[in-house]
Amino acid sequence: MPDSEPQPAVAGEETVQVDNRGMLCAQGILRLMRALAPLPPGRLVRVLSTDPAAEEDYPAWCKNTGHAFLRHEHDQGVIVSFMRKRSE
Amino acid sequence: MAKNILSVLSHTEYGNLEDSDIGLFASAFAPATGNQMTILLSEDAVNYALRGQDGTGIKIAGGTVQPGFLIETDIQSVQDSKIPVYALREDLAERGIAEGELVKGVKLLGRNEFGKFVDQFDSVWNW
Repeated sequence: MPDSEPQPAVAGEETVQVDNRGMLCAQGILRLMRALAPLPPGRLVRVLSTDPAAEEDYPAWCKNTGHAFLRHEHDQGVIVSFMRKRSE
Repeated sequence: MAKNILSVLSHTEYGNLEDSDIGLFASAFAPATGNQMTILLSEDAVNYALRGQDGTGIKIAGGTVQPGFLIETDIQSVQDSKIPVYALREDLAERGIAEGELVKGVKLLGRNEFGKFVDQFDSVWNW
């Protein structure tokens, strides 16, 4: 795998969680930004959302800010989005 | 087609249980829509650029703003998300805010540069 491609999440990897359940995606993105700011490059982040817009908004936001979007999972009505902070 | 948008904040929030400025968090969403956003702080909103403000523990009508009004964190975070932040030099000076007191990365813009600066954007949002 080339260095430029994001590393997939590894089982047991340390993950920062952002709980955006119950809020609109626009507000959730600000909370995600706050959470990302102090993290080291490459840190895995897991975002919980209930706004269906998260399915499209987080991948698009990552694409345009340089962070790596990995995947969504779904768990009892909660969208779980995985992303990795970009290299500086 | 992606737009180049300038978001001008000219007021500070008050009496609001939101934990950030509404214009700021709407602007922060722009990358999700594929648009390039730039924020300009003018008039009273230049206070947002002042480093070291603690907005935690604020209560309004008995309700606590959670996690607090984290304006310094948010000004830094939007910059980390490739949204440049400018502040009007004269508006800072009128409020006694020196360049050395600003949140890291905030750029200064003079009133005499404003017209040419605005010309580069496809649209302007005013808050």
